[in-house]
Formats: sequence, structure tokens, C-alpha cells
Amino acid sequence: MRSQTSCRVTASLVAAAMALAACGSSGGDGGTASPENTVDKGVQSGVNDALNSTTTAAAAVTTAAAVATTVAAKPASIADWNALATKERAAVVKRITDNKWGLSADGKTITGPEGFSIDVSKCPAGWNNTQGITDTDIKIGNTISQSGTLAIYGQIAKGISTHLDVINAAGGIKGADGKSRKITYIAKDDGYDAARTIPLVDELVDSEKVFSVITLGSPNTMKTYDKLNVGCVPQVLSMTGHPAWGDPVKHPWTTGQQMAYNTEAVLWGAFIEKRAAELKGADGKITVAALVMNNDFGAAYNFGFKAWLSQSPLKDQVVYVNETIEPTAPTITDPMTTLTAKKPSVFIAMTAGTSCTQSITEAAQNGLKASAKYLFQPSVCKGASFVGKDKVGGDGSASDAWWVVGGGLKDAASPIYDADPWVQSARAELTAAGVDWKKDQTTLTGSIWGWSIEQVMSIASALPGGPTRANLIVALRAIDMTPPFLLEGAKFNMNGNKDAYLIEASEFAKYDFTKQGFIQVGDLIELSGKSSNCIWDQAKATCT
Amino acid sequence: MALFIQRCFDAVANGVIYSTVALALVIVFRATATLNLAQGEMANVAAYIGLVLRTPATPALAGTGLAASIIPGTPWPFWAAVVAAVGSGALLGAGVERLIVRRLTDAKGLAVVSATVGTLLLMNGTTEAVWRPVVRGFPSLFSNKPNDYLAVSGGRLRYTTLGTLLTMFVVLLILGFVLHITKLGLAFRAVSSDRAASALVGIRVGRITMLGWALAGAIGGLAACLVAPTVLLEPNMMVRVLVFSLVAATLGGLDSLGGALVGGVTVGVTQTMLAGYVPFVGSTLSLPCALAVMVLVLLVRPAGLFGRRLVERV
Repeated sequence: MRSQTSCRVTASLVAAAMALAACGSSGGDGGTASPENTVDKGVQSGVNDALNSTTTAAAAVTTAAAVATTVAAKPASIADWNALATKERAAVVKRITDNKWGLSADGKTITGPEGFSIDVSKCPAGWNNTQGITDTDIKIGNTISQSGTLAIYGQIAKGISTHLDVINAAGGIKGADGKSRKITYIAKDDGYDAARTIPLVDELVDSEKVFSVITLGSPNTMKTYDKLNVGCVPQVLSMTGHPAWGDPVKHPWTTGQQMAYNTEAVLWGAFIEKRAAELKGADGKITVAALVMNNDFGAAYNFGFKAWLSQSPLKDQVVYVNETIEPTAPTITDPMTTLTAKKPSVFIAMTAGTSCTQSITEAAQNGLKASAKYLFQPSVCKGASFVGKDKVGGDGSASDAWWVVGGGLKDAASPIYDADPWVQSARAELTAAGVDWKKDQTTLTGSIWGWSIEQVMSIASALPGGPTRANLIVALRAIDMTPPFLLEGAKFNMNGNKDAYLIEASEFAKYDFTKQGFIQVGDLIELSGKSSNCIWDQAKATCT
Repeated sequence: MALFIQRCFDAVANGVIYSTVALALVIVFRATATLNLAQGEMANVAAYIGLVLRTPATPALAGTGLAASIIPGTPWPFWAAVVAAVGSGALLGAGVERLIVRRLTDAKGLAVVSATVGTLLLMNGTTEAVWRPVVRGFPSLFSNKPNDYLAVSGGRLRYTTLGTLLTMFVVLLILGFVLHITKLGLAFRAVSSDRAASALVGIRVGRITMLGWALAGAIGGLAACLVAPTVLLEPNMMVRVLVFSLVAATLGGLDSLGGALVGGVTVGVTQTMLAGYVPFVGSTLSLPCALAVMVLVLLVRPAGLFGRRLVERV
């Protein structure tokens, strides 16, 4: 009997503990913030300009064949792409050296373009500009979710290590000092749990003595970027689109890579404005429903959209309703039912991971797909890993006609890009390394980050003084390249304090389940330099 | 009104999901007085085995190559794959009992529960390594196309919900018969009550315990096949369900078969209705509220809604 009693107590305690863990996500909706503060006027005007100068989306559906032809007309082989990258890296190096940017001779200041400046005297005593660098190695660290509910993103690490292995096998990164260094890449699993990210980042910096850090996830990056910036440790190419990484003044050592979530939200808004007439209900209102993940990631989307709405000419006509979900929720049936009952014209999934796929299957079953005019997946769920036939089940038609603001990236797992030289190269690299990219499609996203790491390390190494933390951050703040993984016309650039976001381009795309891929609709919208910097106010969950 | 009806259906749909795993937890508890926290992961592995067997071997899906090379006739018909999943669950349950739990029979305190936590983590990691952390579409045992529902006052009662509920009732009837009418059921009850006394009267305690775990494993395998089309099959599918199922089993009474069903539906109703009609609760606080209901019930009925209150002669 004692055993049975103890089991009952244990069951209760375990359930409670697991529930608390499940509810322990950081961030939150933060519904008291003032959305007016977060609107990015530069992005808004840029989007409006782009859309107004573009052919109507309906008339400009780009077919799969057209996409392939367009890509093929550019660098026709991976060798051509590599040659272009070499040329563009040289131009960045020349610009930096011509302007004498970098660590000053007295070692007190790092300078870069457009007023970019870091007071190195404020770095901790003993700060080492070349930590993680030896004559033969560059050691970088990455915290990433290789377990837990968002473990799918952990496959990115495999893609990165595969590409870096190829670079290392070819001799590594050549430095201005004549030495070639191989990149040692260390990935540590934080399970997308920010509480685990903190000690892992400490471990990488203090024990592994890495040169720079990459973090995956908005909550995870948010919880570590203050400390890394105080410690003058580069936290570059963060795997998250939170707008907070565009803060070159207060957080100069942190950069993102992908399009900011609030930019994506403005693009959703612009899409709605363009189609306002067809979206209005009988009462003249446009109902927009959003399923929001309850963490910093979802909050960035939510506030970005509210910011757009607060200054939109449609603000009195749009009824915005949202429901939150916990990242660990087993089903999303309840919030989807609530949102469907609002009879929205537009539905937006501001989620990640499994809940992206669940939103597709739920919408198909509860009638939302049939009743709403437009349904959007978030850019982080653009890949076939979330919307493919083998994910949503049946004949795959549940995914058909979903839209995405895709962030300008090619979906390398989609058959639409089979003829693309970079896609072929990335797939071949993975295959040669024994990685089946068809099984582990998110590894191809790792190929993207692998390319970016290769480029920024190459530029930093080519600068006077070789690979130093100062050179790395200046290289990023001055970078201007044409990556092979971006859609044609998308830029990959930063410009000191004036432009703090690497990718600010996106396409609108619509899923075609017969082709198992998102098909671009209309022209690419390039917003390079339009995004305002963002000093993130954590308490108000808004940019200031 | 239509929204209320739909929420009622959603509550039942969610509740039945929780009940399926809760039932497996109850079986192990009834048969062996042990709380098996690895129950969900065992079920997850069983579902993956079912998926592998019914999937054509293609390079796009991890694990299918192995099946194609060693198991003849893949892809199997879906019903056969589900039967295999149920069988795999039984084998896993028996294996865990024989290899881990039985060796801890004489251990003090919560050693067995701790061992099941270790098993949970081991199976979770292995599942992720073999089948990768990606979502897999899993077919439904019941017709699950967008229009496969009964329209009731504006609400949609999906065939999958009805089918799962019906399956639960059938399983409950069978289990009720086995546990209350047959000698096997009597042996289960005897072993869970007093292992030493059971052995003295000639019951083969080890075999009965293993059978209990196998039975729970089989039900877990079936549960995973039932919930996978909704929750979506991925390595953490049952981890996400387990917490709700634990609440359901505890609420219903850890030794009550019917309690698992009632407990699951109670949790589902509490969650859905509070999230839907109490604005400050939302989805964030719906689980804590369900937990609060569990605590309140336990304060009044420590053995749960339908659990037997054990009386000890002193």
C-alpha cells in the first residue's frame, strides 16, 4: 500500500513539475506594450514603394521553370559563385583597409563604417582579441536545439560542420599573416531552453575558449547577448530573426543573419493592404487571426504586426485577434477553434517547429482553410521539412495555397531548385559526408550558415592582423556580398550603424502541393538599409 | 452556440488523447503498483515501427531502408502495421520489465520510477537518433479527410474523435473483462497487492508482472497510433502528451480503468473551456488550471475520482 501511495504522490508531483517546465517559456505576449514604438517606418515605406512598383501578384506568378531559368542565368556553376565570392570578399577587405577601420593602434577603439565604434577599454580586463585563434585553428561555438520540441533545427549544426569540413579539407581559411587555419566548430545542445543556453555559452567562452559564438533561438540569444557584449565576445550570425540583433550601438558584438521578424510582419500587413477590398467582410471589417507562440520569438512577430497595424490606413478596419500556444503543447486544437470562430479573412501562424505543421492540418480539418482567403506560414517554417506531403499526411493537399513571406532564401530541399548550382553543390557536400539531405532537410539550412561563416572568417582573416575579434566584427559590419543561397536580387550586406541587418529581402510565395514547393509570386522585395536599428526594451517588448 | 458545441467536441478530442496514454499508465499501476514514466516513449517507438512498416522504402524517410532490408513485404497494409505497432509495444513493455524493472524489485523507494525516467530518456534519444527530429505524417485509423465529420449544431465532430472514443470503450470493456473476470486479472490484482503472498500461493509473480507491462505496452502502442495523426509523430510526441496523461490518470484514480477515461476527458474539458471562456486563463494557464482541479480533487478524494481507497489492517 505504501508503494501505491507513493506512486500517487509521485504521479502528482511529476505531472506538476512537467507542467511547470512546459509553461516555463520566457517572454510572452506582453500585451501592455505600445505597438506604435515598434513600427519600422523605413521598412514600411520600402515595402510600399516595392509593392507599388511591382506588377500585381496575381499576374506575376513565377513558375518553377522560370525560377530555374533565372537562377541559371546568373553564375552558372558553383565555381562561378565561388569566384564571385572571392571578388566580393576582396572588395570588402579593400574598403575596410582603405578606410583604416578595425582596432586602433592604441588598442582602445574599434571603428567601422557609418560611425560604428566600440570602446575596447570597457571590455573586461584580460580581454583577448585572439581568443580561440591559433596558428592552425579558429575555434567557434554554437548553442543549438538538438533535442526537445524544436530539435529539428539542430540539424543545422550538421550542415554547418559538413560545409566547414569541406573548407578545412581544402586547406582552411587563409590569413593575411600567410597562415591557413582550419575552423573547429563546436555545437552544444540547449534543447531551445534559454536556461540551458546561458551555462553552455559560458562553457564555450570560458572553458572551450572559442573565438566567437552563434546562438539559435530568440529567447536563447536574448538571454545571452548582454553578457557577451559586456565581455566583448562576438555573437555573430545568430539563428533568429528577432529585431533586437540590429543594435550596433549598445550591442555591437551581436548580429543576426535572417530577415527580421518585424519586417516579415510588415510584409504581411502590406499584403493585406494590397488586398483590402477582397478581404472585407459584410461589416466592412478585415479580420486577421494569428496563432502566436508564447515566447520571445512569437512576441516579436506579434508586436511587429501590431506595429504595422497601429499606423496602417486600415487600422480602423482591421480586427486583429490572436491566441497563444505553448511551445510544448501537444495539440493546438483549442486556439485554432477559437480563431476559426472569428471567421478571419487572413490567418497567420506565428509559430515554429511542429506547431507549423499542426496549423496546416488543423486548418484543413476545422474549416479554416476553406473559409479564410489567405493563410500564412512563418518564414521559419518555409521549408519542405514542415509543409511537405510526408509531414501533413494524405495527398499533401492540406499545404496547398498556403502563403509565406519567405525571407529571400531558396528552399534547397524543394525540387523547384533541383537545377540551381549552389543547391546542387550543398546537396552534394552533404551526400558526400554521408548525410542524407532528403531525410534531414534542415541540414541544408546549415549549408547556408556554413557559407556565411566561411565568408566572414575569410574576410576577417584577410584583414591586417589576421583573424581577430575586432576584425571579425568589422568584417560583418562592412560586408556586402551576393550569396548563392538567396533569391536573385537579394542583398547580404551591413553598413556600420546605418544598416545593422544582413538580409532584408523577401519574396511572397504560395505553396503548390503538386510541385511540393513554394512558388514565388511577384517580384522580390529588397529592403536593404531600410530597417531602423532596434534597441530592444525587454520590459515593454518593443524597439526604442 | 456553435462555438460552444465545437469546444465540447474539442474537449472530448483532447481528453481522449490524454486518456489513451493514461489507460496504459493505469494498467501498469494496477498490475504491478508501479508508475511507468517511460510509457509514452515506449508507445512512441511502437508508432514509429508501425510507420516504418507501412511506408515504402524511399530515401526521403529515415529508417525505412532498414525495414526493407530485414522485413519482408513492406510496405504493409496500414491495419497490419498498426497490429505490428501494438505487438511491438507489448514486446517493449515486456522487455523493459524483464531487463530493468524486475532487477529493481527489491529496491527501496522510488528506484523503479527513477529507472523508468532513465528509460524514457534513453528511448527518446534513440528515437531521435534513428528517426530524426522531424515531423512525420501518420495515417489515421479512421477516415480523416477535411469533410469527414458529423455536423452537430454548427460543430464538427470528427470521425477520428468518434473512432478513438469508440476504440477506448472497446479496450476498456476487454480490459474490464480480463481484469475482473479472468484468473489472469485476479493474479494481476494479487501481485499488485502483495507480491510475497502471491508467490506463496503459487502465482508466478515475475511472469504476471511482465504480462502486465506487455499489456500496458500494447495499449500504449495503440494509443500512439490513435493520437499520432493529431499530435503529429515526432520524437517528442508522447513527451508532450505524458504530462496531461499523468494528470488524467491521477485525477481518475491510478488504479481505475474508467477513471483514466473520465480523468482524461475532465482534463480536456477543463483545459478547453477555461482557455475558451476565461480570458485571463488562455492557453498559457489552462494546464496549471487543470492541475489545480487535480489537486482539489485529490484533497477531497486522495485516491482520485474512481481510485480505490486502500484500507490496511493494523
